[in-house]
Amino acid sequence: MRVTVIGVGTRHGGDAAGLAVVTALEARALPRSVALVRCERPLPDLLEALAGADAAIVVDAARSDHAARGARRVAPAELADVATTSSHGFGVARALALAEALGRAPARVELVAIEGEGDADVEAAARIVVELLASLTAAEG
Amino acid sequence: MHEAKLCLSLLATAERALAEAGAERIAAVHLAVGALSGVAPEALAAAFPICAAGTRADGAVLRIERMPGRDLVLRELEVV
Repeated sequence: MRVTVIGVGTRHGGDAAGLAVVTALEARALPRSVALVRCERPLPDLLEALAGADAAIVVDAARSDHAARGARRVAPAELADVATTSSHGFGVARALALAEALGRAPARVELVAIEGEGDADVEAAARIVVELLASLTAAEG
Repeated sequence: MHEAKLCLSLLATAERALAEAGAERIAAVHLAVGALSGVAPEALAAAFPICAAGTRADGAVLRIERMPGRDLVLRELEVV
């Protein structure tokens, strides 16, 4: 199973946390079937990254009503709420919808939102990604 | 997949035309798609409303005319 971890963010836009998670993951030993991708434009870059994956983990900075910092998994249905306050959350939702509409969505998509930009927030997101990768690998048997 | 890119490009063109016309929003887009253009009209129709959401083409009607040949032609934009 090809699993693609996609960090979404902009290097100079103050929301680079998704990209920082990819950098943090590069320092870890991950299975060979895992691809790490940085994505600065939800459309069309994220759409293309989604299209080539069997499973995808999308990591994006988000600001929502949750006061807590750190990182958490977000259900696809929840993305709309996150999108109301995150500039490219909307773009992520749109890229996912397009992948679905074009029949190119991965069989499984996991979303991880980072609510903060500190090292601890990035590390928390990287831990969640590693846990998700372990569960995806285990599910594959 | 390139239908999504095509939609984004089409919408950018439509936004420019909208600004030039001094109109508020795009009501309809009429596109002619050549049979040998490599563009799947069904995929284009599926991608268009998602790409248009939140733009000034939100809710616009996409009319696709099939034609022979390799070309892709933006026949008409209806603005209001």
